[in-house]
Amino acid sequence: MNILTKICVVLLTVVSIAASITFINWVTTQDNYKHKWKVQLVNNIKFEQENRLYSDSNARLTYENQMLARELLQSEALLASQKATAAASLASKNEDYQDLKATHDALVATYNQLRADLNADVKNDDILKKQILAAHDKIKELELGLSKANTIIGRLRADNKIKTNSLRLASVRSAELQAELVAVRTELENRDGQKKSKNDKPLALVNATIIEVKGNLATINVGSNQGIKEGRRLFVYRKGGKFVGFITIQNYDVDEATGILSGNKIAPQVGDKVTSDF
Amino acid sequence: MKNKDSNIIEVKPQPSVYTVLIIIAILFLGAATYFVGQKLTAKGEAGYGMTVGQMLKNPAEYQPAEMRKVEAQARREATQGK
Repeated sequence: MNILTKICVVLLTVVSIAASITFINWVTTQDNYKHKWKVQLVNNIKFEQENRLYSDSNARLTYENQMLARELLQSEALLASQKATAAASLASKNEDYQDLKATHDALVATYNQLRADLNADVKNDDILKKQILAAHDKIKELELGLSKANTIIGRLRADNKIKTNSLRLASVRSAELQAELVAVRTELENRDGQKKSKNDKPLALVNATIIEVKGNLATINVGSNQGIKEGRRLFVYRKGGKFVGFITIQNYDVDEATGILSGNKIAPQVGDKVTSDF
Repeated sequence: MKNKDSNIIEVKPQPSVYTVLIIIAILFLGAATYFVGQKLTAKGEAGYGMTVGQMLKNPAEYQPAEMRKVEAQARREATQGK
């Protein structure tokens, strides 16, 4: 074995030992990159799935939010519309109620006036007293009917849905009551006329026209020459037969008289007719 | 052994220090080959799960298919783990 071979053998041995140590060190100390890659891949896939779920959930929540916002806007618009409709209906019904209340007040005033007149005229007449009592009972019934009408009106105010129909029924009922009251009043006036005829003190039929209106005072174009007396109560109506109110004579002249307006259902004006037999 | 012609006896040479060095190198290389082979062929977390045939092939020929298998397995594990 020559010297070159010996050198080669020594170098081969050294290199072999170094390479072996290197390889053994590598396999014992280096991490398994394939396993790490697989673990990382699993984590990435899980993350992607979770991210997809979150994205889907987020999109669904966004869509639901948009739908809820749209429904909310629609509900608010509908509520505002219903509120406006209810307010308008309530205002209309309130006006009707005020009209009916004015009518009721006028009828009550008429009843009081008639009762006062009858009390003054027939103090000692038992027959007429009985008739007055009967009329009183009738008027009580009318007041009861008016009270029921007021109750119906109160219900109408509480419930907007049935206001229209119920208020129309109440109006019809009130008109019927008014007609009945007018009939009773006419009957009482007839009875009063009968009494007056008995006493030979008939009241003249009056037909006049309002020629001036100042506040609650009005002037008519007839006076004592047509039977006008102080305290006489006359009906005021408008062309077409629409009831306006009453006028009670305070001062009078031969051809002119002034009285106080009361029980106005509508505002009196110049040109309105005045009569004692409405 | 005797040589009939010259009466010379040929003696087998004694192993020298260089023979020992060669043996030591072979043992080291063998040990390194064992550990490396075990690392490459072991399955799971301990090794790379290669076969002997894959060791002899060009990595570009088998690694794409192997990666697809590993990825499919990882996807199954991720789905099951969910």
